[in-house]
Amino acid sequence: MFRGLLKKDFLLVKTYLWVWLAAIILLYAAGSVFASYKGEFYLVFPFFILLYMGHMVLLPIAACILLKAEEKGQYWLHGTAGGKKLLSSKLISAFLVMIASLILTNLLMAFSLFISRSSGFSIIEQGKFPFIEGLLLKGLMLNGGIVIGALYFTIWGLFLWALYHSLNQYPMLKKIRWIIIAAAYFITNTIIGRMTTWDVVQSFFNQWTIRFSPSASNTIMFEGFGFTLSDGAIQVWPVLLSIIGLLLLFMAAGWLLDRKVEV
Amino acid sequence: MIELHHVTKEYGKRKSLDNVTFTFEKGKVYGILGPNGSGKSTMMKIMAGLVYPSKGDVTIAGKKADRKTASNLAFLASEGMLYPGFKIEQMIHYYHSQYSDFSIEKAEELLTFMELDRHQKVSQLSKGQQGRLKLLLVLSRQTDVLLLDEPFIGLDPMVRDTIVQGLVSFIDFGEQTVIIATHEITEIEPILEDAIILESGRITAHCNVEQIREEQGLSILEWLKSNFKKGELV
Amino acid sequence: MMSAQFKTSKPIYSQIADKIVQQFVRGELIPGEKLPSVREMAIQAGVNPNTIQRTYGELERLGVVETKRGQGTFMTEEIDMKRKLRSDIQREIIALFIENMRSIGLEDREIHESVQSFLNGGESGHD
Repeated sequence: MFRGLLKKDFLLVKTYLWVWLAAIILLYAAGSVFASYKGEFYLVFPFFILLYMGHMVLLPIAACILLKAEEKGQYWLHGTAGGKKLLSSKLISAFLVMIASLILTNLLMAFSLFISRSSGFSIIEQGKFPFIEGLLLKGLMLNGGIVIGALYFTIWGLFLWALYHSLNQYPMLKKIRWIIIAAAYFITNTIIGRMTTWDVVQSFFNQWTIRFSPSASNTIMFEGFGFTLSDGAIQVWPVLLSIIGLLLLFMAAGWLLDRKVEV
Repeated sequence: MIELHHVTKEYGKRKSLDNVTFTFEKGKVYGILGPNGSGKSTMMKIMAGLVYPSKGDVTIAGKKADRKTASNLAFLASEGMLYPGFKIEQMIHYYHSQYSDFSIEKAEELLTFMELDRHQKVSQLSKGQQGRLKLLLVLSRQTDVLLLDEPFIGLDPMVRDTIVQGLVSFIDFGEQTVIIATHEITEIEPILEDAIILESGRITAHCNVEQIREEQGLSILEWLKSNFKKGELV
Repeated sequence: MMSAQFKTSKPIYSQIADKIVQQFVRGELIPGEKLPSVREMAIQAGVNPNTIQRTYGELERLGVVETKRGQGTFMTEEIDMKRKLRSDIQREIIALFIENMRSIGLEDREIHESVQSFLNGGESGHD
């Protein structure tokens, strides 16, 4: 049954995936040809930064397309698969889309780095693009960060989508549904954001850290996620709590879908 | 078989179903008749477990109706059953994967009967072909209950006849409880045993189709009209 | 094709029974001929099989058909049945005709005359 769901969801998103991958290749080809014609091939790198960032929204968009396909009549709920199963299938299918796109992007990136090196550009020595030193680790960190960020947005998205449709049966609230779901998101995140600045919380977080890269000196903050990566050390509690939080959110979305979302 | 016990469904102040109590007996073919907005669709969705009652309860073979009800109930919905990008055969495989009682052999038979081409995409099908495909998808299942919500909507009379014949050929009369909600009665009248009139969320009349002909000399359509006239006078 | 053929004033089961009787009288169905199964007949007529069940039951009661266990339903082989049915139908048609003629105010004598002149190839009118 679950395989059937996955297959259906993949079929629903398939065309979008091919179009998207083709668009990346075309854009890259056109951009890189133009840039090297101008003799400034390094201009492709800002394009990559944009593209990598774009993956954060790619997952929620793919999930959104998949949910949109079911909105008419919500007939997908007429089955023996529960809400969690239905949503897992959506999430996994959307995830595959993002991974496929990420792999392609990584390949193009590696290719570009190879080209720019062999054509004698000294990007490496300038150290302007830190991808080159410890390429694998950085690449992994970048990819991992993007995946985590994208998952965060998507699971929130799934929950808010389920909430939005649950409000359908209350005509009083129907008109202000958008406000309610926006409020649900921002209030929750403001509270969590506030709490993470408290000294008590911070000292609690600092009790358990893992160092993994002594040389790294950059700090990555995931807004609202309360996730700090500084001086090559990572706080374990926020990560753990975030994972639990997202899981709860996902379960809540499944529950809403089973009990509250109506046609 | 299916029992509705003081079922009310409210959407804010508007009552889509208003204190409905009724028992559908096993193996009979029922028609739920009534104009648009009379609550037919809500009643069907409540029995299919897609909508939950605000008050009262619905049981199917003794079990409370919910999403799991689908395991023994096939539901032809008026919308949302088909994915436009899918080929007919992909739709069949998807339904096969979701319902363990879905019979591929029956689907093959129905493909021939309904004159559908398995390689065609849903988006390329005419309204009539889509209606036939939807019927194929529910009739290929072996369930105790079959709910058809407006199976004739948007179909021309020729196609309706095919659908009626499909129903007669593939329904397991006497075993399956079949409930057909429609406002286009003429075509299905000969296959109905009982008819129910739903008006602003309430059941206002219930009859045996052949009895109405015998005793009052009326077709169900005429009976329906006479009932509405009475209602207007009151 | 299907539903349109049924009149509203009569139960569907008896309308189908009438049709079978007519086909028998006209010789389209011969004595001893096997009728379609309930299911087949239901599909042909586009009606609920229970209706056909009732039709066959009614015809059996009238002695028009015979159900042989495990074999199906057959037209009767009784020699007089066809004649009897034909005269039944005849009587029914005449009764309806006479009733209609009387309802427009004709005397029995006038009815007789108009039938006579109609059969003689003239117009039925007698003004």
